[in-house]
Amino acid sequence: MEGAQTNDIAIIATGITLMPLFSFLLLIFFGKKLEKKSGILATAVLAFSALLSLYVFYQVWLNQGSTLTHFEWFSHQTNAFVIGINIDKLAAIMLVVVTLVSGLVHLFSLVYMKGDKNFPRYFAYLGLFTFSMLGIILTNNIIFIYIFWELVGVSSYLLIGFWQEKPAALKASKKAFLVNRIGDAGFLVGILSLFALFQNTDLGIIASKHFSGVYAVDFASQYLLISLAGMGLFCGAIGKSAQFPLSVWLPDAMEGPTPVSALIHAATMVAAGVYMLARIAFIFTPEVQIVIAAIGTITAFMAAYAALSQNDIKAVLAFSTISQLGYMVMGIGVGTVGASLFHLVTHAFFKACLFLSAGAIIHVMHQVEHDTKAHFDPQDMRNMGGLRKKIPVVFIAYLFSAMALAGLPLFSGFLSKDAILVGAYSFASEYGGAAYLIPLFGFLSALFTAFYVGRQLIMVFFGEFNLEDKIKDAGNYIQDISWEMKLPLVILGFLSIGFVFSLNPFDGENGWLLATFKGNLVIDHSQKLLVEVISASLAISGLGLAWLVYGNRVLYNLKQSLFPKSSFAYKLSLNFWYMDSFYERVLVKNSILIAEKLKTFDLSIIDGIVNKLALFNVIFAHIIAWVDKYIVDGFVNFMVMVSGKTGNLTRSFQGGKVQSYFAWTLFGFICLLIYLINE
Amino acid sequence: MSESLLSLLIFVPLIAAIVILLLPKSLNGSLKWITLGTTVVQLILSILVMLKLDWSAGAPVGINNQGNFQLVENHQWLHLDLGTLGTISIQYFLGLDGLNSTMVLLTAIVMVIGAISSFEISHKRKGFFALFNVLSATIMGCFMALDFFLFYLFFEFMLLPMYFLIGIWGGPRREYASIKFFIYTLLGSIFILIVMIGLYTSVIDPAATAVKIGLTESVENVTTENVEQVQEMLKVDQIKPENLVRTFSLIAMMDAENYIPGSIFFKGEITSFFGENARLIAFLLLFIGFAIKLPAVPVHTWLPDAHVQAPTAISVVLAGILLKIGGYGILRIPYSIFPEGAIYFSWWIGLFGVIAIVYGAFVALGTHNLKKLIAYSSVSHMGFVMLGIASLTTEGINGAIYQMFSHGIISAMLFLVAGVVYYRTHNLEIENYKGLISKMPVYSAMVMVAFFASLGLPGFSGFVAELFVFLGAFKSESANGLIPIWMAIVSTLGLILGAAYYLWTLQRMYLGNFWAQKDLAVDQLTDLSSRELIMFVPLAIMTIILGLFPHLLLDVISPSVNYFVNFVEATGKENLEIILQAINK
Repeated sequence: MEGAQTNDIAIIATGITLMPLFSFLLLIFFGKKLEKKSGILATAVLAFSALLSLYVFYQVWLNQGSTLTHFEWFSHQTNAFVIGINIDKLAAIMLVVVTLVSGLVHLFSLVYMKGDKNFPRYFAYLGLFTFSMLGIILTNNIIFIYIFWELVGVSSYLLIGFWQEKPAALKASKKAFLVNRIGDAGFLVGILSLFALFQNTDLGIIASKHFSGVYAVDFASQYLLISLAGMGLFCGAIGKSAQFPLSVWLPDAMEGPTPVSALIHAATMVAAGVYMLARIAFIFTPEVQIVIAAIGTITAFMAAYAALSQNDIKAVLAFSTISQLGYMVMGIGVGTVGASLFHLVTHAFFKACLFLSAGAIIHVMHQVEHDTKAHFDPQDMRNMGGLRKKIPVVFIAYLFSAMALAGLPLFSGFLSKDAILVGAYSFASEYGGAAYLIPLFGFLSALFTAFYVGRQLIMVFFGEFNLEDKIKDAGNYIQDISWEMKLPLVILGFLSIGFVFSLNPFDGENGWLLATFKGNLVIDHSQKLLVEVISASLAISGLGLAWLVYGNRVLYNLKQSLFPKSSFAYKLSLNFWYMDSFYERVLVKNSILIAEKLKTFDLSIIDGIVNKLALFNVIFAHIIAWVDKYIVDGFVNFMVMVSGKTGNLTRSFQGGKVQSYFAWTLFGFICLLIYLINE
Repeated sequence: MSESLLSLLIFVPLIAAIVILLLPKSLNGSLKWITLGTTVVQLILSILVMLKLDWSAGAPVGINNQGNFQLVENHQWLHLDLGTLGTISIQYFLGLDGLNSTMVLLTAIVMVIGAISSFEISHKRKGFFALFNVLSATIMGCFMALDFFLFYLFFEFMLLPMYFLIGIWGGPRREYASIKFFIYTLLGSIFILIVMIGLYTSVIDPAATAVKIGLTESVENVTTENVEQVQEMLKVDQIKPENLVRTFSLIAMMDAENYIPGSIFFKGEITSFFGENARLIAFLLLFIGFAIKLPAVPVHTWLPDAHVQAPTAISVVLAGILLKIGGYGILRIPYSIFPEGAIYFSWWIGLFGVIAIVYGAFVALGTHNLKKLIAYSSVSHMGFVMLGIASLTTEGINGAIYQMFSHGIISAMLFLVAGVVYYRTHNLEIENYKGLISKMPVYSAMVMVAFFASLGLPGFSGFVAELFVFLGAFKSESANGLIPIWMAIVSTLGLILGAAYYLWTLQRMYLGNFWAQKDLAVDQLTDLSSRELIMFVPLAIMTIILGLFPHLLLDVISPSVNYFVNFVEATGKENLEIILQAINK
């Protein structure tokens, strides 16, 4: 079973990883020449690697062929820095998720980015991103995960700031990179702890050493270092997966092109944090697990709350992404790693679908803006409405994926979110007390989720086209989208259906995916049923409530009087708990203040002292010079005068010749030297 | 020729300098080509050297054993019989091991870039190119010398061309900057000189002494038995003072057996110096001397001034190579000769490393001048060298040397980045520019490569270096107990701040829509010329290659470093024990 065939798979997987890199290099150097062909070329490359990924997936899942191949990067003493290419079931499905979504985003972008002056560069960056993301998935060495981790960060930086003539985009790209860097500093500390503990960075070796209790440090510092490793690695995930308190970069990242948001900031890169946590979960101590669960819960709740009031179509989705990632992190914390991974996969598809739908809508609105020569915000949902008749394919795709996000039974999100909540509930019943806050806030966030999903659905697709209030007959300018945009929506919308993952739409546990991931985790079926009923009813009531407020507007006035725009609760949601302004005021301002202060300190104090010392030296030198001139020189002159007088006496035997002066001097000097040496 | 390869590295540029001085004025136009040719010859020679060296497993590793150096050239240079004072012996002694061979290569590479960059020099060319070649020779000599006197000679002599190169061809405040540079470094050299004289009075050359007392015919015939015999005799004071052959050989100074009992640096004696142990004080003096060169905070303030005022080519050489003499010197001299100081002061060295990393990064964040920003980023990056050295782990010191090489390449690029703008507009205030990318796309792409390489992005050499330093610094506490874990953790702040000042600069100066302060010569802002591109591209390729294939350098560095770490740690701990016992008595 192993052997030749599995090695083939490693080679194919490496090929899949390298192809987007090839696309990147090709387009970065020859993009200008290829022009429009560059996009098609990149899309073709991705389509091919997606097909190969499906083959790998098929081989690994059906023929049970997990494989691990090692390449040596370089060796240092006894530590070889080895790249392990690890293709297990998890890696195989992630391979499919990444290449499929990336391929579809490529296809979608062909139309979306048409006419952009840096069209080839856009596809080059997408290639770089896909390569790095695949690297994270396949490598089994924490240093390499970190390397690719940084590279996805850079591709994200480049793509968020792709429209660099927009100052907001530039700011957002810088912010994304910096906030991630903070998390990455923690990640690095985690790696360093692992290295100190195990003298190795290969996850396989680390795991086997950890389970057999072999550590390179003394007993006293073991537990501390293991906890530090766990916390450090989690910091990395906090940054990349936009968890509290580093969530602030993701909403801003929406300044990038929308297909990028779909690929990087919804489906894949932001999920890398969760993926990494799942890979390294064996190292987490109970304390670290509680921290992870708490952070996940807080994030899920805060972001869901923030999504309630947003009017920008992408902002809603961005906060929703943060919130859903919070669920996944919560799942890791409470110990249901399998459920988190399941949610990662379902979320990747339905959220990519939602973002691409949003992209299609923005594209359509943009065209209206262009054709009517009017100025309005094409992303503002208050300008939309009634679009279901105009762009039906988008509507259907959006409906499916939105229902998955809301967690409605029959859709994929229901299965996976439910699995996490079941885990959270059984975690709580095990620990009791405050631990019940975790499922409680999990449920509350589920209600919020259903509500904001319903709100968005209604604002965008139902009612009348609101833009017509401002611009007459704006609706007539709406054109349907082309097939390159429709196809990705259809595929991803289809993948949001629950049947894809489990034949029993109310039970994900025995579906092919979760059944494999969950391992030996035992699930209490009465708890499961309870959680299922609660979350299904929360989803339905959330959607219902949204309909009552925004659909037939029965409760609209009540909502307005309860949460007017001037209320603190409303502002808290709109401004995402004022996290940004807090950081701006506390962190950024003070850092720059410290920097300015230190610069002044450097210039006036350190350098000041140096200059003062120099000045002192100069004054001292002047004093010495004065002493030299009037006292020493005076003395010398006096001596000269004296010797002049005595010279007259000795002149007789010197004969008055200059040469002999010199000879006498030399003779005297030598005498002196001999005298001194013999002393 | 292969016996004198190392000498060629020194004398080819020296000869070029003389030729340049002798050429008639009518040939002034060819001076830059002569200089470029010389540096290229030097590069070829240094590549030959790298190929000649044996880096296979079990190859000689150098450090404290003369026989283990490669391509050794050892000639008697000065031999003065001073009667009862014994004999002065100064040798022309060159050799390579893992600590310096990569530095020689780096020097050759950066000098080529510096030579191309010097094409911009338009006045007093004769003087400039002659001094440039002298500088090149002295730097090479400094890295290869294994005799303290010879080392010191090159070390001091380096100041002279540097002083004039900044003072004559520099920016508006060049006199101030050059004199500051000169005095600062001179101060450091005085510390080194004091210890050197002390060492000279304490250390004998056992081989030459063996010849002198008639154990054997000539130095070539000296056996290890002879040497041991001399050392035994020295211990029991059997050798007459006039028969002692004193030496400046660094290698002899590393062996405790060669110290004359009762001399100031003899380790058994508790010779005090202002109430402190003389060997520890000597370590400190040497360390400070080199730390000024590195430069370490708080003795770094010469660097921003010197950099901002120096012409681009000289900034490139200064940041690319000269700073590394500080780091290399620390390893070769105080750490090897007084290893107990390395143990005793490790906590403080680590602390100052961390301070440099964080402080340099913060000040860089606060500056508004591009060149100054880069200068302070150098301070921050050299902090990693100190941190890695302080950890005294193989990872840490490999990382420190890797960092020196990598920073040599990257900082050369960074100063070219500043030089390109300065050449065009003579203004480097970051606020005066916006969106340079639209006018200078190729240049901006190079800026991005340089910035991302410098902020430690994986795939570039800086990442490997910093990773190794971090690995070493972090494991030091559990491996050898020298520096605490928190130092590595606090240093990660440098990574965050590094990203902050570079990305902020990118955003403010390079990306977005074009704008420039209206007094500036905007029409001069053209993209890279092919001469400039020729400088950038090899550097960019090199930092990527070294980021992807670290073994290219590590295979050369690490055998010596492994030996070095064991040697310093073992001897250091042993000596420190003796010293502390003596103090406690």
